[in-house]
Amino acid sequence: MATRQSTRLLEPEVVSRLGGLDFIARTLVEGFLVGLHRSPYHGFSVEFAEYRQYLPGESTQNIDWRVYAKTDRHYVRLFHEETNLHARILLDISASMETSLEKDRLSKLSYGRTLAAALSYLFIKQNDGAGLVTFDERPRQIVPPRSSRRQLNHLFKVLHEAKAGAKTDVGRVLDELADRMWRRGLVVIISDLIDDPESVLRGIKHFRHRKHEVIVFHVLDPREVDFNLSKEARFIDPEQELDPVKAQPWHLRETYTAEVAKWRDRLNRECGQHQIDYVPLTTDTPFERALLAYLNKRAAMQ
Amino acid sequence: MQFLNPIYLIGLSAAAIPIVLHLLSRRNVEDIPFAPLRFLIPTQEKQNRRLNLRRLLLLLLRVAIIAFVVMAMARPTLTGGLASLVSAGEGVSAVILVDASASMHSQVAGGTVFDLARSEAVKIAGELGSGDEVAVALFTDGFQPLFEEFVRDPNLVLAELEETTPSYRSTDYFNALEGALDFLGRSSRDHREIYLVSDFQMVEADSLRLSRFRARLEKSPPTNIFLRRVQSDPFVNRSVADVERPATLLRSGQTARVAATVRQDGADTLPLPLFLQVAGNAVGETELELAGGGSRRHVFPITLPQAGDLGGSIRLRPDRYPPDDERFFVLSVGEQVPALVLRGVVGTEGERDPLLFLLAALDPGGRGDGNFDLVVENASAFDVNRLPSTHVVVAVDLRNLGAARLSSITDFLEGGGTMLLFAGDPRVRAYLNERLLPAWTNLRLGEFRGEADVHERLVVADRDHPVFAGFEDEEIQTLEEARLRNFFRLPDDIGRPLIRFADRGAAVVEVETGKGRLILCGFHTAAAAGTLPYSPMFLPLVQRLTGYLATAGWGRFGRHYEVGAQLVVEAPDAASAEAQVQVRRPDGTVAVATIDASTTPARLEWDGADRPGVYSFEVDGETWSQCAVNVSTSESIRQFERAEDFGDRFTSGTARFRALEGDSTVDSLRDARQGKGIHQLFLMLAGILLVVESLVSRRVGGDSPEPA
Repeated sequence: MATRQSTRLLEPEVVSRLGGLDFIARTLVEGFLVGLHRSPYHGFSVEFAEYRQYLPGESTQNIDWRVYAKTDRHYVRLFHEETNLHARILLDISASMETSLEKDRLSKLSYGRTLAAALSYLFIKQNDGAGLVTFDERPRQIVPPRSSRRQLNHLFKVLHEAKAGAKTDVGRVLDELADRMWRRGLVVIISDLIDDPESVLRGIKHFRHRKHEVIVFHVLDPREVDFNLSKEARFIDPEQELDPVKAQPWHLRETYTAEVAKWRDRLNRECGQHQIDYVPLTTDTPFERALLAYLNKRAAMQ
Repeated sequence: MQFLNPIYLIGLSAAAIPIVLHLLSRRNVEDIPFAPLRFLIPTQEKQNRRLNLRRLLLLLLRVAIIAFVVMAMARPTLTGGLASLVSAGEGVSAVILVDASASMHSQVAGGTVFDLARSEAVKIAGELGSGDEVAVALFTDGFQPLFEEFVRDPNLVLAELEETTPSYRSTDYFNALEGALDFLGRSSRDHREIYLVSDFQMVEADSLRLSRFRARLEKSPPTNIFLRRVQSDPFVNRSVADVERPATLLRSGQTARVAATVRQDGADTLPLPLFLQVAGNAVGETELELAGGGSRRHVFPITLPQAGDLGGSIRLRPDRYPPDDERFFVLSVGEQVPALVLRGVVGTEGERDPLLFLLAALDPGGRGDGNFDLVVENASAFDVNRLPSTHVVVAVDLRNLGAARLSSITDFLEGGGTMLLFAGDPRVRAYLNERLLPAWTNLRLGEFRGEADVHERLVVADRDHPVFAGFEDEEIQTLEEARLRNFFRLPDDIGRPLIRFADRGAAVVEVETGKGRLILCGFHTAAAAGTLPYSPMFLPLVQRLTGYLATAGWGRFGRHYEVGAQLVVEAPDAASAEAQVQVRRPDGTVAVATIDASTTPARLEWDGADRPGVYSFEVDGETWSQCAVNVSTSESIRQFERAEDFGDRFTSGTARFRALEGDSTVDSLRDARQGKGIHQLFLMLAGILLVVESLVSRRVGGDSPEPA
């Protein structure tokens, strides 16, 4: 019973009625984990310490003096940061993410925000380091990965305050971020990827080139996929780059859905070729699927 | 193409509705932010071009559908050769009205105007198509359909019309057109036509009837009314316009004077021989010189040969319009007329009996052998059962009749009885003005003048009135020399004043009271009235007034009628309820009528007077009454309207009047006649377009949400 209730909580429309991000994230993740019958992922968070040689200029606060006493060498004990994994969530907050084509449906941004919160909770719970980058045409907020509980609150706060920005330039931003992330880890991209597919793919592949593991959560509104709208309308570009299009959706549905399918297929195919996990999501997809995708990825990284 | 209801074309403005909706719908679509717009653009560009074309097509279709429906409501018709291209569908229902009034007796080469009208009617019927239906009716002041139902065979029209003759009755276009509209009411067809074939003789404009008729037209379904005028060539018409009979009662052996007014409408002076015959004997002949366009009166003295009704006529030599060349009259000779004399305020002491002069006038010899069979009663106590057998009531200073007697006299007057009322005593004023006169008329007694020094002079106001007919100038002068005091001044703008006061107001006024008449004299007959009762003309005046009321043409038992009127004659005392009366017509044929004994006195009503002349009512071979029947003088009016002018006067509502001009009825009819109705074609087109519209709109989706 509890399982069913918990699973039900993973449905986006239920989530959309819940309260703060911390509550949602905890509920989602706990519910999700309880719902798994047999967890193959026990022991991820077994603590162990890592010592790294002290580099000049670093704070002396973290030097392990006992080790120094024994070895006469300065080592830094990194016990605050879990060394398992540095996961960075790249959340697209461009204007296109703000749209929702149906009432009572989460916007892509809300969906992405919730997903990011849940993933963060999951990372921290497993003592992985969780970081966050929000971006539109450029990075807006960068929270470096940490695994402390305080980090979680900080992430929630940043997510909570993340407002839809301006235009997207996914490809270029990903490129730029890939350049700045020298430390290998898990990169989780949550975006509608609405940009030139070439440049988007180039940006994603750039992470792989830097030896990151990459999961792409491609979030779209369900109506953006099936175009199942019943009223004639003037469709405007939320980022105001393209001219509006007046259309009766039922006339364009067939060709449009084919175009979208082609686009997603291409993303899927090319990501696959570079061992990038491409997870197509719509805002009505239960979060469970996204979390499972992550756990699968995490398991593969062991 | 023409439209029978062009007013409906205003509805074409409704065709703007789809255009407005189209424009509004362009503006009113919702804006939806849509992120993957880049995938929509290439698809949409191609699609939009096709869609815009379809939308334009849809708009045109919708405009066309509305336009077709509106035009169908406006009843489009095709004329000329185009009409034959359209399948006939339902045909026309037509009523052909043929004028059969007296004026149609005018002669033309080879026949009468009526013959022309008949042949026009046949031509019109021949023009109707195989799917059309037609009825023919003659009209005068009545409407006489020749068929009970519409027929489809023009030969039937020809056969039926061949047997018709013009009547001598007057013309009533309203009645005819209303009759035709009623007849068309039997048809369920949409195409309705009336053909009016007439000489369009000028009729008096009756604005009330015209407005009623127009209201009727407005309620009627759309009807085309075609006017075809037929007319003889111009000719000079001579007519006996009027015959005046003596207003006095006639006694055998007396000399009476019968006056004829003759008229001619030509430009030159014409000699007109005039012939008088009475009871079948030519008793007078003269020749008048009559100036162009003028009229002249001629008096024939007649010695009355015998008692009884004497029928006679005054005639001219027949011209091309014979019905007005002879006028008929009847002189009633030798009967004493029952008259009831009512005495009102009984003379006070010192006054002479007010009836003294009155009885001297009505029974000059005092032996009861005068013109009147007199009964004298007190007004407050007379026997009301005398009224039905009384022709005239003579009353002096009526006061306090009582409700029952007042009611009886009111019935008597309304039913055709007559009264000569003298009112010269101030004591009767309130009763007359408040009780008596309001029951009969709106005439009232005016101010009373009773000063000893007032002596008002009289003036004859209306010398043309029959009462004064035959009075010489000296006699009129003698009458006008009389003075009055103690009199009521009467209004001179109500009824027909016969005698006026020299300064103002009337002294003697005649008014109608239903079918009857009242002559009110604002003075009484006693010496107190002034010098009038002593005037040598007073007794003749009273005689004339009484005789006029007793014998004039109105009343219950008149002697003079127009063609078509119901003749009403009093049955002889001896006639039993079962007695059959033979009515001898002017042409010698005999009809039978039955006495109605339920009325008192018994009377006979007969409806067969269909031609001018003298009609004799005979019981057991004995003539006991005669009636003269003449053509209405309105039928002698020799002025005719143009058909267009006639149509302009009558046009109203959805009816369209069109004159058929030219020599050839057939050609002008073909020109003017409504073509084949094609409103069904328009409706069919609208239906087809509607189907196409629904197909296109399914493809386009229209302005509504996506079709299921």
